[in-house]
Amino acid sequence: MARDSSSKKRVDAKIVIVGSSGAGKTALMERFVYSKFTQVRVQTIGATYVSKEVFRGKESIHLSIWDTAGTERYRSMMKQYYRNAKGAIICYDITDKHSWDALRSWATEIRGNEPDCRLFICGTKKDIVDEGYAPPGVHSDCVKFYAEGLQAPSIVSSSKTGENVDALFSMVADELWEEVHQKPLKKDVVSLDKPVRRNCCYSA
Amino acid sequence: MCDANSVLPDSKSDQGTEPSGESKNQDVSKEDDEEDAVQHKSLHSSCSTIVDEAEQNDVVNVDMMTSDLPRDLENDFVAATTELENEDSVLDSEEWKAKEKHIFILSSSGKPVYSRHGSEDKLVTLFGVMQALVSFVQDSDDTLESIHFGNNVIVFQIRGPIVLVAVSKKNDSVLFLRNMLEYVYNQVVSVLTLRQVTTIFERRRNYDLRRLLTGSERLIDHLLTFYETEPSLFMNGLACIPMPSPQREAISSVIVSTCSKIKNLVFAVLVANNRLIALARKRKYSMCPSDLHLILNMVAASESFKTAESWTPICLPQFNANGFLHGHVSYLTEDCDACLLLLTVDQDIFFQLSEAKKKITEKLTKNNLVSVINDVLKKPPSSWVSLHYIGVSKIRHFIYKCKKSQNILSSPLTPPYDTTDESRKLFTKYQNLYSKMFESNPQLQVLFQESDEERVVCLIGEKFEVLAALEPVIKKQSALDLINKLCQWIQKEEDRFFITNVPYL
Amino acid sequence: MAQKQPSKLSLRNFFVYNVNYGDTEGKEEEKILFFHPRETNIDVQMREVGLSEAIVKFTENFDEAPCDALHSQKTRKLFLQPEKDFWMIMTLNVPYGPKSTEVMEGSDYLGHEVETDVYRSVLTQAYSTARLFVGPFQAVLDSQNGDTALLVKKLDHFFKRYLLGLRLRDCDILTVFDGIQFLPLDKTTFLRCQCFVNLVEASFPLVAHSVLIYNNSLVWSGLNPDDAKVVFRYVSSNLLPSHLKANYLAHRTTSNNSPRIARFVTGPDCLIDLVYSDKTPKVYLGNVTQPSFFHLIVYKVVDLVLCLFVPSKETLKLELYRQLDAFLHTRMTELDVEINSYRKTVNDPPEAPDTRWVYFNTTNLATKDMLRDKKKGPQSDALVRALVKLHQNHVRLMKEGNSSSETYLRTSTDHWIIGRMSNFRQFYILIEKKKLSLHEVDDAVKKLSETQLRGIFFPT
Repeated sequence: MARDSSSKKRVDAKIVIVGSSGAGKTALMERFVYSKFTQVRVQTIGATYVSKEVFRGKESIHLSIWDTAGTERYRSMMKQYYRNAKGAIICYDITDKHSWDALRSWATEIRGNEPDCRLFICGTKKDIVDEGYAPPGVHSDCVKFYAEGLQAPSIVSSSKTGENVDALFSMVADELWEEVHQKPLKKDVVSLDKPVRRNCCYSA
Repeated sequence: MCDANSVLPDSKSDQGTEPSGESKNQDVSKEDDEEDAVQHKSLHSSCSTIVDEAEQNDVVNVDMMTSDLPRDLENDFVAATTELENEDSVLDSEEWKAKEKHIFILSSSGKPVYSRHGSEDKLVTLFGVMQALVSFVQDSDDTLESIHFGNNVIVFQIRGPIVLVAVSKKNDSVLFLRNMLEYVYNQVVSVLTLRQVTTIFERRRNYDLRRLLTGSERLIDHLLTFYETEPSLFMNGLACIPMPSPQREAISSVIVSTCSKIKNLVFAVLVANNRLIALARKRKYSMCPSDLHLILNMVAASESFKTAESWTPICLPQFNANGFLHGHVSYLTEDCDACLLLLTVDQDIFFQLSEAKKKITEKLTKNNLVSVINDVLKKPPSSWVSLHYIGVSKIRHFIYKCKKSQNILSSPLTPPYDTTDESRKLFTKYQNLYSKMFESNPQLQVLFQESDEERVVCLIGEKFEVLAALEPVIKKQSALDLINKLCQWIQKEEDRFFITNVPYL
Repeated sequence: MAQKQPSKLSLRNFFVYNVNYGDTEGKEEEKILFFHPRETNIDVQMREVGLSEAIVKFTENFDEAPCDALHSQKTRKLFLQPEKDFWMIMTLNVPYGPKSTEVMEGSDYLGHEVETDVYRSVLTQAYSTARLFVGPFQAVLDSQNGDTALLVKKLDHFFKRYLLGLRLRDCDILTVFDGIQFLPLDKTTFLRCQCFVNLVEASFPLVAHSVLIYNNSLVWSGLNPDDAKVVFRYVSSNLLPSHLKANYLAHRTTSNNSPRIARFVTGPDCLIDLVYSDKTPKVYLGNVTQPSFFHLIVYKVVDLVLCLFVPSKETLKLELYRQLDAFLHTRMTELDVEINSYRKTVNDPPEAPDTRWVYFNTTNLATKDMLRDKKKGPQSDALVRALVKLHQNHVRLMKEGNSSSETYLRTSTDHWIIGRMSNFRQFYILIEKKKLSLHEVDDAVKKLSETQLRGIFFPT
């Protein structure tokens, strides 16, 4: 487990990417972590875990990113993925009205279950609209209005071109950075990902 | 086209009423639930609360999914009015008609769930006819099994609220197609669990299961190709990567020693190239070939990042059709094709498994075992078995199954079977003869078939099963002698090809 | 729940319909031309027809091949479209009983005991026999300007009796072949037979075609094999047995001063009647230059049977029968003796013990077998059934372009089943002797081929 004392200055933060199926969550993660893009995507099963270190001067923040499946059948399991998350990036496909509708239910659900989790709204597939292949499915004012109400920053990105992807994650890191530095860290808080119920396993 | 209602006078009235058989099924599934709860508790009483919670979650989930009736009905209506126009074009298209095999899944109320070729939406009427035929026969307290016409065969399987249909145009055996549908059904269960499927249809008979299966079509597509090209699926055996047994044991023992403290770990599976490298299991539990094939299918069908770790719910129907196992899925290292799956019943131990996996990789690297694995994987399968070296070069191809370990070994597809067409033809022949061995009454033990192309021999022994293709002119007795020689060689080298001993976690 | 009793294979229903009829609402049942059992409720009849039509239409989505069979757990439905728009359907009840002969527990439906190919052939034979008497179904409709009444009457008349005589449980691979058993003769004797037939045809120009049968084997036929096999099957398995039975009864009940002449199997009972009513059946031949109906006169002397086909437009007078009798009686008695004496010179090859076999030639439909004459038990029934599967496999290999193929099977009960196919000749052998080595089996097969099929070449 990530409880080794060697990383004195290391700060871990759990981030979860959610949103309806086909919104481009995995592509977003892949662009950020591996700097690559694959046009044809396979359905994510369950969730994928990756981590990436983001530096702020000498110090760094270790982002533990959970890229989750968007399909309905995993809805019941979603709780375990966003439990104790510090941040949630909720994605919607800007060309798809349904994915926007789904975003609202995601926001409500996470707010309800993890009140301390910060929400970020990310519109994906910016390139498709920019290049005129499809009209936007959601009015930007509508997004803005909703995001403000939620007190969640919002951004529109393209995983294909990479536009605004790093900006999104910097924004996420910045927000979490602030939060982390506001409160002095206790060991328990560092391991944000530790399961709540853990009375059995660590005989060490 | 085919309007079911016009030709089946009474079928309309069926649509709304539940067939009497269904209530029976529900009873059965309840029993299963209880049994399975017991199984969980005996496995680890400490985490029974987690299991209970998961159960509740599932129920809540179903509520959520089935509560929004209006939206779904509206969708149905839209689908019915807009898609129907295009329908004839699909059924009439020569390309669709020419497909060798069709697979359909539908709910017992006739809702399309999956079609291998052509979008389900455009085949709504065809799905309706299939439902009508099934329920029509059910009305006479009977079960529809198959339809035969020319070289074509259509096989039906009714599994609770799900109906599966296979259409083959190349005279496949009914047994082969039934098995295929069984795999497809297991794949659906693997994604949703039997409990979820049952609960959903208990609550809403008209539920559109595609909503829950979105994205899994690819798994089914992949599984079908896997089934058609890999005889170990049909023969219900495990195919392994050959490896000297001390090395395999070393790998297993690294996994076992690292994971021994993890309480709720049920299986640890190391796979590559659709084959098994190492397997460890909790005492009293064993890995069924068909469950392993679902795991292999999932690994092969998923795109993988070598550095990412997945936390994947997967239901293994033979192990427990009603609950999910949680799988920590990752590749050993960035430059290794071996994928490690740690399967547990505890959904909260991802990081514990993640840590265990890191340690496994470290230990394997330290002991040089990762490079051993890489070396083995680098060798082309054609180098695994040399019929020439064994001295049986008149055997062109064989598949050997060890009955005790359920392991399978087959020789590389060398000429004349090195093309897709020829290998398919051979597998179809194998498949048909192998089915014949079991379908015949009395069952068959020995079969020699000689045709212009080759001599095929099929032996079902006490300890092993062999399918072999030999040169056409060879005498039966000589063929038998060669196969005996081959079997003796395999049995001598067994440790290298098969996992005869699965260590306990 | 009451325990279900074991039951054997049985006929559930048998019906004929034409898809072009019954379009008007409320008159849908017009499409049904025949339905057995007749007392079946009309709604049930319509449901059965509806299901068949739905199945046919469903399969058309995938391939043009017409529907052959539908398997359900409890039934087997066989489909045949004998003429455009006409469908004949036969539904069988699958037997129910213990799953194996060893274990008595656990009864189930024994679908594997019903070989679809066999019953497809039963259905095809039902049509070809029906056509022999009724003629092509469409022709009957056409003669009535499309009115179905006459066809309904004819089909009812024919099938009512035909279905009664159907022995479903006795059908096996020989049913599938639907072949003709030829009488092996030497050249001289064969030529004698041929000369005799030619002489008959020359002396009685009314006779258009003839067929000569000796002791249930075909000696000579002037018909196309497809017509010949239907006629042969009808004469040898229906006409002659019932004639024999009638004669036997007549012999017992009447005194020996009866003027009855038993030589005409079809035709007048007696040649001195002042009042003559023509009882000779009319049969339809479809593979002759002008397909039409013929009077079928069957004349029998000892073991020799002559079938004569006279165009149906001719009126048969008693005088013709008298002339025929006068011409045929002595000649056929002599010929019978001649054939008989030849048969005596030929020693039947020693019968191989514990062996059943069957031979079939797809080009001339010749069959030869040693299959049914032996004692049977449930075990050999299963083995004989296995021959059908084996045959199916060889047909498949042939379709795939193999000119010859061979299959050796050893069952878990330690019996051997062998099938060979070469140039349209097929030979199936069943060795019931247990524990034979491959070498011994090979020898047995070789010996059997030599003794039973002299002159029939099988490459090894």
